[in-house]
Amino acid sequence: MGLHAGRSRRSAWTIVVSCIVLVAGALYFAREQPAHAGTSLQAPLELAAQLVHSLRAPSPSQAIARRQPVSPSVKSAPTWRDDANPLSGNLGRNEAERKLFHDAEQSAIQDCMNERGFPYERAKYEEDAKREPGADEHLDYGLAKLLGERHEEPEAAPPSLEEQKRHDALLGKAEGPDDEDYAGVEADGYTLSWDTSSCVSEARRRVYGDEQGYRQLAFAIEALKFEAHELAEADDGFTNAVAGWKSCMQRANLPFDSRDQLVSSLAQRHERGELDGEQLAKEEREVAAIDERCDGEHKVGASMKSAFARTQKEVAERNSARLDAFAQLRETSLVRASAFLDE
Amino acid sequence: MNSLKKLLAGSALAASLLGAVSLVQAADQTSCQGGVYKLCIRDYENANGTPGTYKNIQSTNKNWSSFGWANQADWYRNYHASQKACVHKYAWSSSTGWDPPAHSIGPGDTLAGRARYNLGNGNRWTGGACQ
Repeated sequence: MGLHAGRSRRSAWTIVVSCIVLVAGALYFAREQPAHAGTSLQAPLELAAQLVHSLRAPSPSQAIARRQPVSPSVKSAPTWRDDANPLSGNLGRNEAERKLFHDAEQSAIQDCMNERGFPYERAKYEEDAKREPGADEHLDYGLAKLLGERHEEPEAAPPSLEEQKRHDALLGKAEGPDDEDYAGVEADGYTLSWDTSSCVSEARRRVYGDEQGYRQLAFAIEALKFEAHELAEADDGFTNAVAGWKSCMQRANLPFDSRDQLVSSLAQRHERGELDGEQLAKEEREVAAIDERCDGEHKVGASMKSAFARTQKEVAERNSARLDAFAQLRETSLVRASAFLDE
Repeated sequence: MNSLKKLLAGSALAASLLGAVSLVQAADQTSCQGGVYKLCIRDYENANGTPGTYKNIQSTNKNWSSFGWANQADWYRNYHASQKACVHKYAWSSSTGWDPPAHSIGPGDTLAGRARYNLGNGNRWTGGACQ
């Protein structure tokens, strides 16, 4: 995208300068020629208008590029270095690109479902900003709240035959990877599989072309982020912070190795009947307040954040070729998805 | 009269607790077929009791131990019609102010690992991106 943005900027200046020269030339000729000599004046003006129009009507991929900050450096090929979160496995680098892919896929799913005789309402794209990570993550672990909600969440009734048919058309049948329609990709000892006869799979082929290739690459990159996370968990800064947190918690008679263990312990005591709902809520709040203080004192979260940022960079550098291939795939997919939506 | 009130209140509480336990147990299944599911999970290692037990997860849960699941799972299928299931595995979730890495399981996708892998211990749903 940096390449396109850089080229667009240079082209824009060239076109603007050309237009000024052409318009100036046209005005000069207009002064020199008699009023009836329309044709000689019309030609340069029309050319200028066409150039201005070409400047104002970008191609689909340019339209996306212009909504994004332009990279100051001009690259010779798409690169993962333009991506702030290169190990996410997301084809879209930002909300605009992710929404474009989402909309194209939803449009293709709708076409597929309608062709098979089923109604389908396109799902709306959900922006990251709306979920505000961490906003509700303090003072408790959500245990008492979750257990309270469980009383209000009835089991859904089995689907009707028609609903099941529609569901199967959309997502595929649940027989599993042994089914001949299934495709799968592998990375780091685990597999992602899906039914290629489903409309969600059909939609990906319509939008991206090589569904298998795209998913293999995205899945492999997602695995890299977990690799970076494992490295961060072994980082000295983080392990020292955890040791400090453990000592701090132990002083408050909470001998746990991790927050996960602490939450499990609370839930198990509730399951065994040692804590009723009210007691659980009260203890949860008290323990979470101590946890938050110990975390703040020893910077468990902050240590992980900085270690993870560093290990992600290291892992990305080691896998540069694969990430560049993904960046190239993004370029072609942006054009394909834009064209698909324009059809 | 007071004793009767206490007895009735105690019975009501006991009934509620039993109801809660039965709901939790009813949500465990022996397969993911024949019902309405969102995210179906399974732990190969049988750490959760009955061999082959599955669990249907409908909400967002930072840590599955909060509903009695022994923490991890290695097989997932997303039955949601439009939302991705983001499955994370992180012993320090909550109150760190950032999200751990997550597996993105799209509608209709099945994610599975070898027995030694426990791929996740919490989830959230999104109509956008997992990470």
